[in-house]
Amino acid sequence: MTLKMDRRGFGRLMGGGASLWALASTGALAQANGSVRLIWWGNPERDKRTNAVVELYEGGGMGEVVPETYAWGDYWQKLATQAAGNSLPDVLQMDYRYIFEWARRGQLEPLDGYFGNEIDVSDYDENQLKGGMVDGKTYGISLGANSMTHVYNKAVLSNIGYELPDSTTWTTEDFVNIGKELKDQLPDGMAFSENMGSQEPRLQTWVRSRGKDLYTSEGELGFDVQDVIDYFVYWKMMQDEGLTQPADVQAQDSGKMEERMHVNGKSLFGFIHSNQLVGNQQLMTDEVDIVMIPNAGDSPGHYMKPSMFFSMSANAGDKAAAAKFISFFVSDEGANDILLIERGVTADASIRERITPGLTETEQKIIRFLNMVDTRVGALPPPPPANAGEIDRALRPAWESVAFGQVTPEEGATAWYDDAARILKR
Amino acid sequence: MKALNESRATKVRRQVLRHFVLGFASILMIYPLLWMVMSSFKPDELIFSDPTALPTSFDLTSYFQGWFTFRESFTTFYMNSFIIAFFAVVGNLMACSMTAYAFARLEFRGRKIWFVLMLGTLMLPYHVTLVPQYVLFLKLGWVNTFLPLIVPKFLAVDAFFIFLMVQFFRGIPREIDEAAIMDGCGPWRIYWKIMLPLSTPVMATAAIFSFIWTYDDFLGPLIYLNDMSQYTVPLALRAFVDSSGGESLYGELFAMSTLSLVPVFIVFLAFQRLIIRGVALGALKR
Amino acid sequence: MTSVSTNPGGRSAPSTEGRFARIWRRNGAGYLFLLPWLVGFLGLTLGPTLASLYLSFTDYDLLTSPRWSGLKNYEYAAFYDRRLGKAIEVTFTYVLWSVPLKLTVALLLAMVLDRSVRGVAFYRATFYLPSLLGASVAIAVLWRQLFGADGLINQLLFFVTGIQGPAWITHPDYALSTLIVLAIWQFGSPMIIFLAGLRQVPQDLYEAASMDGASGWRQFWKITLPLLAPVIFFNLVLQTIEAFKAFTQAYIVSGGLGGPVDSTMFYSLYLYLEAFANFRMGYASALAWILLVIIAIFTAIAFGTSKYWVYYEDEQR
Repeated sequence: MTLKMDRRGFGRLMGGGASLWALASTGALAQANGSVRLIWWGNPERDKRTNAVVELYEGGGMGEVVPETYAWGDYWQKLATQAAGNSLPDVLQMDYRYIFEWARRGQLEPLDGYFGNEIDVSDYDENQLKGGMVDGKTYGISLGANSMTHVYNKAVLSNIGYELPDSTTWTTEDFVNIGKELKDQLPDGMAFSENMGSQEPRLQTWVRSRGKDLYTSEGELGFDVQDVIDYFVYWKMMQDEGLTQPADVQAQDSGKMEERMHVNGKSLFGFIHSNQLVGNQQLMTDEVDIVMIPNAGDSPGHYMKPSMFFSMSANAGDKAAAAKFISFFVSDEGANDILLIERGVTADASIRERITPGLTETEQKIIRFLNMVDTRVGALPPPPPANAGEIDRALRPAWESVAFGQVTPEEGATAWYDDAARILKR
Repeated sequence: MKALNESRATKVRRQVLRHFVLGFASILMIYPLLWMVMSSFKPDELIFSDPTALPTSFDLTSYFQGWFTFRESFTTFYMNSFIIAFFAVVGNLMACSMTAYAFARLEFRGRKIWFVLMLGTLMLPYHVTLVPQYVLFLKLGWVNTFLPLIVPKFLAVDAFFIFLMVQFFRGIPREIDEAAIMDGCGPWRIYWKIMLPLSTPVMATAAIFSFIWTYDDFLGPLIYLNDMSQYTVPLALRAFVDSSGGESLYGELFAMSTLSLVPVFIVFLAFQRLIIRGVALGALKR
Repeated sequence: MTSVSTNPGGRSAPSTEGRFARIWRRNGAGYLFLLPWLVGFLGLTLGPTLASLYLSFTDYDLLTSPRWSGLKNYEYAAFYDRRLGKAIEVTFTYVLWSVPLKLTVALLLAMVLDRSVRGVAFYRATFYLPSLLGASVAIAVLWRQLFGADGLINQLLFFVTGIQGPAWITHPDYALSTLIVLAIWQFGSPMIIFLAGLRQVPQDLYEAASMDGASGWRQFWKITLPLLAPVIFFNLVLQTIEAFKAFTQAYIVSGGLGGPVDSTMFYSLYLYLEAFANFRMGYASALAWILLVIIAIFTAIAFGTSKYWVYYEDEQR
């Protein structure tokens, strides 16, 4: 009796199992020859354009492409998991911050061998190509350039009737003086600037304008503890003078565009990368514009940063096909008519010329800005060492302990500097 | 007569007070939903620059455009979510109740050890088993199918539900099954004819949680699904916003987020009646 | 752990029965019912669990193969990791406040909603709403609007007292408190379980008690609480485990930063950042096993004390 009932129960279970197996046939990993798996992070606009290029590529009979896309926050977890399982897609969108790490850990394919064959980068800017080099080999083709900027609320400034000085030569002192002058004329609740004490890229322009950089080519810290102390002292002064918001208000910005001080009308100035301008403008009714970052030393700290790359997985199934797709994506005119500058301003001179007239006013601002910066940039920084990301993330709590008055700028800066040195050794 | 009137008056007053308290609490609870609905009618540039303002018009474009933003429409995403959630509910109810019945009522060697191990599976943070589990499913050839999201449910990996059901099964007096054994019932019959019918509230609870948690889960689908044609609703919702500062579609995000709550709400309303109806345990008991 | 009650035991076996048949008769049904779980546990759960235990003794960056490193990870966690100390402190504070408060609110509301008030289905549904929104973007935005610098709380505070409050959500002294409030606000799941538990309490007991003239308060202490004890126990154990592992809310509200100044750096958030942001899966695995031991100790204490306050209907009294 007992057994009989049990058997019936399990029969039911097995029946359920069988229908599950039927479900399983809905898709297998596309690894067939000539087919390319492509993965990127992004947003609906980027997805639309990228998918259109994929269709153009497939329509031209050049091969099949299987696209995958995720939001930035999810992308890296997905990619790391796939890498751990040796099932990375063939073509990967890579970020400047991560490409060194991924290349050095053997996940990426050097592309130099494909140049002149499958990949056509003859019109590419030399410097931008170098941006994808790690230890002498090219592991990524830049999809566009950007640079760091100060973004400001143009509508508010023209209401006041204030004219900004030439941003190619202004200094951090000028910035403070302008702030003091404008402070009382700003709308209610708006401070002069976002507090950038926790922004690692801002710190980088700071030390670069003093002729140093964050890291040396040997992978050690490229600046002195005094540089960080000065940096923290400067931003603490800005906060104490009321030129930036109090620490708790500033901390509400965790880095998302919708939380930024200038987006919410809490500051006149903010810090963004030039390719974020379109997304930034989209969230504001007031018109914004971008200018160069004030110098903390003798020269501008800017450089032209590849906004992102296409890289190839070291385990790609059909490497020639993957290379062909990368080449199509960066150098085909039809493809770039669709892509425009959504991923950054292309390093291909002829394509840049071709697409510029069709851009929106906001996009034109980016081009104008990069043209202004282009002649004033320094060399690309040496590739950051493996744990650079962790050091970047440690800057924020270090700065916040200063901002909230828990420690002095000197103590906070020294603690972070020592932490950074220790993280590099770990 | 007078006393009776008075007690009715206090009763009414108590009712009013109760509704007042409950109503106030409801508003507190429902506020995020209201905000989300409001935002879904606003253009993007107004959502964050003036978050508390009421929308000026009831513009439904976000809903239409949101539905068709991606290569696949939300019809696909909903179908996928429903398929996975359906099997998860069925699997969890069947497998977890069987396991719980074994732990609560049956005698066998090693029961305590297994029970401790079962509880132990609740305690390990899932981030560290994620990668080994992915490798396992990859080797089984299950990645990019629904199998990693469904099969485990039929194998009772959700210890939460097992433990929950054990606690409720143990609330059913043993005299009931002892009487059944006298009548010649075996374990299967007791499980099927006595335990399950007497456990409607907890089964309904488990069904609600299974559905909602599976439906809301994004980490599993993120890791195991690659093709957009297999995406679930939460995975699609995350694709609206570019947290790295690119162009985002907030209006569409809030419109689709609002819609995505409708199925969970319906499931909740449907199953909560089963919880509330309760069981006539008392009648059976004595 | 005395987790499962002792069974009255099988009838004594006739001596003529074969050994195998006897074992089968005593254990067969149990293992047949256990089979799906056993297959799942041995086939799907155990392997990855042991793998993570192994990884906790290695250097593993996800991108290259793990390298054996012995006890190094555990040593680092025990003696050198300053941020871990902060994470443990934050997590314990969170567990000790959020669990009792959340359960109290859940139980109270479950009892209110158990009555047949008009429209009670609507109230039940709205009270469950916050739990439905659990991990969505709306929560992060909402919490900022409530507890931000210009949030609702500060507007009320200013209106009543004229004091301008801080940005609670991003002030190191208050940020954790707002997350505890969030945990309490999402009391839906334990509330539903309490409701189901209340429905298993035989109504005739209350009727009999009312007839004996027992007050509502007395009925609560003498009938509701004892009969609900297994469910309260379940919610207590599960909510404690969940609170120790809390990740999503802190991740969403703090934007994954655990800030300001690490004041909302939950254990699981720290573990996640180590694993997927800093590529230290080996170290993260060690952290996970340390957390497992901590949780297991608390769970064992709960089970150990349960025999004094949890009574099951299936126990012989």
